[in-house]
Amino acid sequence: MTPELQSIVDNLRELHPPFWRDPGYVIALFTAIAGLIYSYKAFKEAGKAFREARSAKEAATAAGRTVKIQTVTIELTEVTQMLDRIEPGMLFREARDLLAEVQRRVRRHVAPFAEHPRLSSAIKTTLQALEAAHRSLKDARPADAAREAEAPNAVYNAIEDDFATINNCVADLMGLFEKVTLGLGDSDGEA
Amino acid sequence: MAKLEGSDLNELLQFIQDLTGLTADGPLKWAPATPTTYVTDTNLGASRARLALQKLERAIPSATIAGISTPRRKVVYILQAFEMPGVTLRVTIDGGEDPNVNERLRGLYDLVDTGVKRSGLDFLQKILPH
Repeated sequence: MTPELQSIVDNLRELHPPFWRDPGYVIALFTAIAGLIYSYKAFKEAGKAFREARSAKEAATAAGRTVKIQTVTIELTEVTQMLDRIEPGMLFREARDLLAEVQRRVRRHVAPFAEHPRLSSAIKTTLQALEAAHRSLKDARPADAAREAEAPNAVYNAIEDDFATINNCVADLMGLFEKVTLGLGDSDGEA
Repeated sequence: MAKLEGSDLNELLQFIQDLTGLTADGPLKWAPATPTTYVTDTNLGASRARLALQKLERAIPSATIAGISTPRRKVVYILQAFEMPGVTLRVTIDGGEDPNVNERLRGLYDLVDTGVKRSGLDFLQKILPH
């Protein structure tokens, strides 16, 4: 390179220095890097917040389910107390009203869990026991209501065993509901 | 009634047999109280009494699967004797306690059931012009 050409290049370099020597570029670069780091941190925080929100939602759902199951268990306890009301000499009408109330309560409270893998079998057995009691009671309907007292224990005899079966089924259900509430595994709680 | 054995059981079986005979021969007239219960008032002996014969399906516990008991059903016959007047329960003969007793009661129940149904059909025949 001739001295003249070298002089021209030097002059040009002085007039147009490289862009990385421009203080504005350096400031913009640092600002961009800072912005990137901030964005990355914000993204991480957002992800963490999302995961925490999801965990909170799951915890709230689980808590709600637990409360619901506990409510059902309390209701089923009341049902077992109602089932103990049958006694010799009870009239057909009394037994019919009692069974209707028991049936309504049990069906209402177990219906949401009918598809639950750990509960469905016990629920099905309970509903079958209720149906059996209904059939037995139908067989005890007095031919003449005015002469119902002629066979004073007919209703009691007809439904006594069915009510005991319902009681057993409801007790099974309560145990399973408690097991689900405690979150025990399938093999837990077994002797 | 506590489960009977030996001569007591034989006496009970004989009583049911006699009751069946009296029903078949006519002195005992049974009337339906419910679709599965028949009653009769008797003063043939020293005491007045009412007998109630009932057929019922009893749930019997069977296998327990995964902690859930699955009941089966068994037909059982019950004969209850009430002292009259006052309809005071004196004796309950539960066919579920002894298969022989249940079998005898089944025979009596079938006889009564057939007789009552026959009587109903005869009545229906009478209301039609011949």
